[in-house]
Amino acid sequence: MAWTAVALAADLGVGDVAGTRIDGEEIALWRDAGGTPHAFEDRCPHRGMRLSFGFARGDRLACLYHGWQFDGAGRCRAIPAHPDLSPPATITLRRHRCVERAGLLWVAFAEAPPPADAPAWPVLSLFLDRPATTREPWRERIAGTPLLLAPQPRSPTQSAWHVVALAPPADAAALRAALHARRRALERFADEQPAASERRHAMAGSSHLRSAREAG
Amino acid sequence: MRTRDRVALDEWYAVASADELGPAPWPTRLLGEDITLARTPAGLAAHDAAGAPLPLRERYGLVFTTLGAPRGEIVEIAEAVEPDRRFVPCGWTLLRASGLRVVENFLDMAHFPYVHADILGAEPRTEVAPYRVEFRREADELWARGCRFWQPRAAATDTTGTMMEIDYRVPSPFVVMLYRVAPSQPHRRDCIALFIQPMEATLCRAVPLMWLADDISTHTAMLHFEQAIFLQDRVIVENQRPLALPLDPRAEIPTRADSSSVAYRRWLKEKGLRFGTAEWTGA
Amino acid sequence: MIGTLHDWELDDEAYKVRLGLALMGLAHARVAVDVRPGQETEAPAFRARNLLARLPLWEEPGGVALRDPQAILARLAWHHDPARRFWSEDPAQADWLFFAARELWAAREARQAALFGGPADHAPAARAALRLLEEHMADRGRDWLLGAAPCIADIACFPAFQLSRDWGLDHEEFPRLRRWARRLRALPGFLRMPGVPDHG
Repeated sequence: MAWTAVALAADLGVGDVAGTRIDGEEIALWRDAGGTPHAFEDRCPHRGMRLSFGFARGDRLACLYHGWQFDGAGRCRAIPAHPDLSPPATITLRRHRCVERAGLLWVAFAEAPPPADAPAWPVLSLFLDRPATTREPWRERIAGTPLLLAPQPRSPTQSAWHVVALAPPADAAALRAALHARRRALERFADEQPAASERRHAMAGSSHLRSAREAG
Repeated sequence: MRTRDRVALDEWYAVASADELGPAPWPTRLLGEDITLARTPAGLAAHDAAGAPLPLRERYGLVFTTLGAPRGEIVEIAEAVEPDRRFVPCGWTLLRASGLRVVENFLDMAHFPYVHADILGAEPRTEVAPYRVEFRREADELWARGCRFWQPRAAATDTTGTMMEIDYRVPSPFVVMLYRVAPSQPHRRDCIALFIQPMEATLCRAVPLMWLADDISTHTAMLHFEQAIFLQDRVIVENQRPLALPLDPRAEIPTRADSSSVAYRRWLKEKGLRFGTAEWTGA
Repeated sequence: MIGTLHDWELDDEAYKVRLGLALMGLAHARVAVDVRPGQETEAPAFRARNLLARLPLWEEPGGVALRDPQAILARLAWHHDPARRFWSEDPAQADWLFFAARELWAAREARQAALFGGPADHAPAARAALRLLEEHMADRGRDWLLGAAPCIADIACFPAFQLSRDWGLDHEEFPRLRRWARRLRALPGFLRMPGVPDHG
C-alpha cells in the first residue's frame, strides 16, 4: 500500500501545522486557508530548520527561523530578509503526496491511486511504543462499531493507529476505552517478551481478518 | 572518546564558571573526552580521562582548558577592563546542538523578527541590509562589519526602538562576539560574548557574558533579558536538520543576508575543522 | 497592586502564575530574581520568605504569601478575579491542579535537566503523564480540561505540554493537546515565554 495514514483529518484544522514521521523520515503536515492538507519534507532548504515548528499564513507555510514562506507546491514565495527579491523557482522544497480520504490524512512518496473514500466518523489516534507489524489498514468491529484502523510505521520502534468509524459509534466512550486498553496490552507485551508479543499480534491479526470477513 | 580533530583540539575552551568550582571533583566533557575540574588548596586543577593534568586559565570569571596545543591565547576583550561597565555573566545552558550551529545563529540577523519577535526585530521591518565580511588573516579572526537592523526593544529599558548598528567578531571557531551601540549611551558600544564548550559533535554548553554601558537597568533585568533571548535561540539550533553544520555549499541555500554564515563555513573549511560538521562521520 | 510575584522569565512554574495573572488581567508587581547564575533563591533573604528556595513566590500586601503555583492560581481565580472567570465549580478542578503539581512535576525536572544538566532521566515519567493528559482530552472531544470553559487547571497543566520540546519531546503524538494548546494561546491576554511559539 503506497499510502500511509498519518492523522485523523479532524486533528489537522485550517492553519494547523504538525510534525510526523514515516519510517523515520520527518514530515511537516499543514492545512492551508483553503482547507487543503499538505505534507512537506520537515526541513527548510535555507538552514535546515524543521518546518513543523513553522506557522501557516493563508495558503503558505512559513519557517519559524527566518520566516521564509512556501506555497502548497513547496515553492518559496517570500524571503523576508530580502523583501524586494522574487525568490527563484529553484528554491523549492521536497514535498510528498497528501490526500484526505475516509476521515484520514494519507501521505505517499510515489505516484499511486489514492485510498478509497467512505463516510467516516473520527475516533482517535493511538501512538504505540512498538513497531508496526502491518502496513495495511484493516477493518474490525469493536464495542459494536465497525472501524477502519490505519497503521503508521513511524520509526523502527514506534507506530500509530489512526482509527475512524464507518458508522456512527454505538458507544464512543467504551470504544475509546477498548482501544486504549489494547494499546496498553500491546505495549506491556512488547516490554515483557518481544517475541511473544509478536506471536500474540500475529494471532490477533488473523482474528481481525476473520472478524472482518464475518462482518463482511 | 576524545575527538581526533586536531584543529578542534588545539583551542582554549571555557568549561566552567570559576565560582562554580569547589573542592569536590567537578566532571564535564570536552570534545568527547570526560574531564574533571576541582579547586584544590593549591589552586585550580583539571585532568583528562586518563588522569593527566590539563593546562588551565582563568579569565572573565571563566575557567579555560585545552586538550591540545593552542597557537594563540584566549581572546582579549578590551571592554572587560573598563571600570564603569556592568558585567553580566548569564550562566551556562546545555544545548542538544552543534556548537557551530550556535555560532551561526549568533551571527544571524534575519531571524530577529521571527525568533525574537518584538524584541530584536519585528515584521514588517525584516530587511537585512548589506554588510561587510572581513577575514582578518593575521589575527585569524572573522568579522562582519556595518550590520544594521531595526530593533523594537534592543535592551530591557529600550521602549522606542532603534536602528541598531552591530559588528560581529569570531575570534575562534567556538567563540563569537558582538559589539553594538549601547541603547542608553549611544556614544559607547556594548560587548556581548558567547563562549561555547563543545562536549560532543551535537551537544554543547554555552555561556553568554556581557559588558554593558548601562546606568539605568538593574543587574537582574539585564540578565533576564539576555537569558530569554538565548532560550529563544535554543529551540532553533536544537531543531535544525542535520544538527551538525554542513560545510558543503550545496547542502543549504544562503542569501546575501547570510554572508557571515557563508564566510564562517568557508573559514572552518579552510582551517580543516571537523568536529560538529555534518560531513564528518568520524569522532 | 494585588500582590508581588517573585519571578524568572525562564522558570516554567513561575510562568503558570504569570500566565494566570495575564489571562485574568490582574495588575501586579514583579520582582526579578537571579536564580541562575546568582542562586538568589538559595540565599538566606529569600529562604526566609520561601523555605523551598525556589520560584514562584507570591506576596500580598495584607501578609498572604504563597509558593505553590497551583495554590497561587486558586487564590487569584477565587479571591482576586471579581468575575471568577477561571474558577470552575467542578470538584475535579482540584484533581487536575494536583495532577499538574504531582504527575507533571516530572516535566519540570526533565526540562531543568535538559537546560542546566542533571543526573536522572525524568523524560519517561513526564511523557507518561502527558499521554494520560492526551487520553483525557480525547475523551468526549473536550475543548478544555473540565468541559466547556478554561479554568486554572488548564493554565496549570499548559506549560508542561507546551515546553516539552525544551527537553526533546515532540508534539507528534499529542493531537488533542496540540488543539487544546492552540485554543489556550488564542485566549485574550495570553502571555508567551521563550519556547512558546509566536504566530499562532
